[in-house]
Amino acid sequence: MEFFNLTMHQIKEKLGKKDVKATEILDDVLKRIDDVEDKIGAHITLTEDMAYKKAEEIDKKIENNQSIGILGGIPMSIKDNICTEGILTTCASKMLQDFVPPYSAAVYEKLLTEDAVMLGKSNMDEFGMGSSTETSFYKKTKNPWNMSKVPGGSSGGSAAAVSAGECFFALGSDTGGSVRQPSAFCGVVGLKPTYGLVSRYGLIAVANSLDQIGPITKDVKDCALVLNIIAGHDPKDATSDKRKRIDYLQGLDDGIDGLKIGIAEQYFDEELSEPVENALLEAIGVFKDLGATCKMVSLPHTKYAMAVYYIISQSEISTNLSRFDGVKYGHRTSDYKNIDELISNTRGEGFGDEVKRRIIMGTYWLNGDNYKKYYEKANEIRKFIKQDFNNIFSECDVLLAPVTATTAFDLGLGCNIPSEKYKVDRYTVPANLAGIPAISIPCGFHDGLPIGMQLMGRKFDEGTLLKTAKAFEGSTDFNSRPKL
Amino acid sequence: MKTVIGLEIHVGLLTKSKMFCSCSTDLGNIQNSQCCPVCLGMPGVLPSLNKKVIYYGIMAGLALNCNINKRSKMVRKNYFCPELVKGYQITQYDEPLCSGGFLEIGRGDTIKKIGINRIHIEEDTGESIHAYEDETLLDYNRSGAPLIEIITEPHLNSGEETREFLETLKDILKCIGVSDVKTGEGSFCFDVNINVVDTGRNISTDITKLKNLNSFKSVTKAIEFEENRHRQLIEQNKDTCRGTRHRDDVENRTRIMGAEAVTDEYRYFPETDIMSIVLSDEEINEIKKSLTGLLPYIGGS
Ligand SMILES: [Zn+2]
Repeated sequence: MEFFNLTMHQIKEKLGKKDVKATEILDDVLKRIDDVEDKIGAHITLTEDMAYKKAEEIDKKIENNQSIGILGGIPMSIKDNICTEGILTTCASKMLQDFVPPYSAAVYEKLLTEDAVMLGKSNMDEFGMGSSTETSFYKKTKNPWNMSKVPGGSSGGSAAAVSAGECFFALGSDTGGSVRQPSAFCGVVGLKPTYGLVSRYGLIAVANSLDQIGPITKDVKDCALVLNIIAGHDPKDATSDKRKRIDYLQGLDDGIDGLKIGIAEQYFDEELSEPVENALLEAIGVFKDLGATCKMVSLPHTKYAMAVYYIISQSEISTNLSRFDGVKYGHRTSDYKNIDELISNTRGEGFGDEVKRRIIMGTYWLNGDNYKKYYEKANEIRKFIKQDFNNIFSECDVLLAPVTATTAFDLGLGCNIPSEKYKVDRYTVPANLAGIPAISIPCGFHDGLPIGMQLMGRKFDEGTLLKTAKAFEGSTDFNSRPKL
Repeated sequence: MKTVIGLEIHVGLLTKSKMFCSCSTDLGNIQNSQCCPVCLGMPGVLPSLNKKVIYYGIMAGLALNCNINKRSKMVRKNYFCPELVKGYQITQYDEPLCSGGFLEIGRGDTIKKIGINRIHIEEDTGESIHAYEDETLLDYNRSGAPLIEIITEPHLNSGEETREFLETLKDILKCIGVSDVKTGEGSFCFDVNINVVDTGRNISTDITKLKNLNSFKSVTKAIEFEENRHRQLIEQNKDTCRGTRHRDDVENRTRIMGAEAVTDEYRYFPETDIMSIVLSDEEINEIKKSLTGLLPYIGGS
């Protein structure tokens, strides 16, 4: 029997009824990987041995009627910028080609505690910098819906793996859209939680005031299931929020009668392609039928979001990546005569062009008077962008927007035109700047490629987002899997 | 002619664990035996600020009559060197823990108030050991150990005064128990900023920085040497060049270390992985109470 196209909650049910063994599920997923991974290229590292060990352990527990964790027997992929003890963690960079961390990210530990089966590390743009997974030092990942298209990025490997049935869920990280955009391109569900909801301990930082780890799943219920595990306070992350944990499965099916949905004029701009706009307009109709009211709202500072994002993220990148100097771990040049050469040649050889470009830009924004001129200004404007969201969330519960202007673009297109590429993030970046939660769910197809819809919500109100997404998913039929 | 001296003093704190992790701060153990992913600056790890460091910083601030700022924040000071594990040092800059204090030196009629500009908390770096000719070994046992940096106003006017100030400061810090203030072991060392002003002609030499002095004797000698050098320059109407000088105890002189201009480019940047330090009056008063009776300097005010 084939299992790889089932959702997590379906697998959970089967395991619970002892209809199937964890090892059988793993067999099936590994067979699927055998069949499609060469074409898709979603993973940098596969951990089959480890996976079998864990699956066997779980089968034994089930056999002995011992209780298993919530994710017991469910194979997962983890983005390669999330530290996994004893498993290669490269950030898709030459710099960390042989880096095996002696510690784990908090989220990974939580997932292991719930008995998830670790299957592998997924491909990404180098250090999360890119929107197509093409800046990876190791391989190009293909979009499972169309092999000539990119999967999106930077969590492109994670989204492609889930979409292609190579795992049941994956973790990504989202700094400016890196979970939502590939999820939209690959036709899966991707959530960027509120900043502070999920511990960043063990996530190799890109821009630490924007980064947030999020689940990529096949449907909304699975998303809630994973969020239940990874959310919650972590004393090792000072920015992690202390509020009480919520069960995101509770109320998931409550419906959205009376929900107030805002539609921001700034997100339906001249960049938005017709197919995506049409899909969103139809989605608005669906929400109305479900009992929601929709109204136009305005977020006037949205037009500054990209400029603010460049400056803040690149500034943070320039200092976050300073630790890669070849002294203690990672790549070290063999071409040096003194310490200065060791550091600069290591960085010259270890980082790709996009990473260097952003480090150089960030260094510029922070240099001397530029700090006041650019970085401080950007932070001031960031406050206005946050305020915009506060204002609209006093009159509506959810904001509906596109994730991307178009469907997945051609491979090779995004690589050499950085300024063009940055535009890809235009609809996703504001949520990171404001620290609010945002989810991408499938809402249509165009030319055989999935279209994503973005729903943004109040801080720590993932519950409403998930409920809204679930209502839409339940009354539409866009949640399908690619034929491979 | 007047000699003008300001000090930057680094004081190692007596906390049991480091500033952002639970590694020990003990000195003299086997190299690299007191390290973890956090104090080695490994990718993905995050700092958790040790509350005791804030507490000790406040104690020092109160003992030196400073304002304790109810809101202060950590920043990143960016520069590359192998002893610095993350490529930046976590320190304070525009919003320090304590500001605007003073310390009195002298007795009776000759009492003089030396202004304290600020006290901030920061992490120490590792150490290079030049064991062999071509090799540098690195010991990160001190990496991430907590320090306070005390920055004085330029109110000192001689080597003798400077020595007296430092001795008084040492007694106070020892008395309140925040540091063992051992000069030889790096828990008490100082940078001296010095120049000479000709008040009559209203001209002055450029400031010279003497770095990493760690004994009272070397401070007074270095100041004496530098004082004479500056006086000669000013008498010859020559300016000194702005630079960092290194005290050479063996030759009893100072050597230029490289243009200070380089150090102006630290690209100070907010450390948003650590929340701003927010203090209440109650918390500060609690610490004040714990100091009462320890020192004559701290009254009921
Ligand atoms: Zn440590």
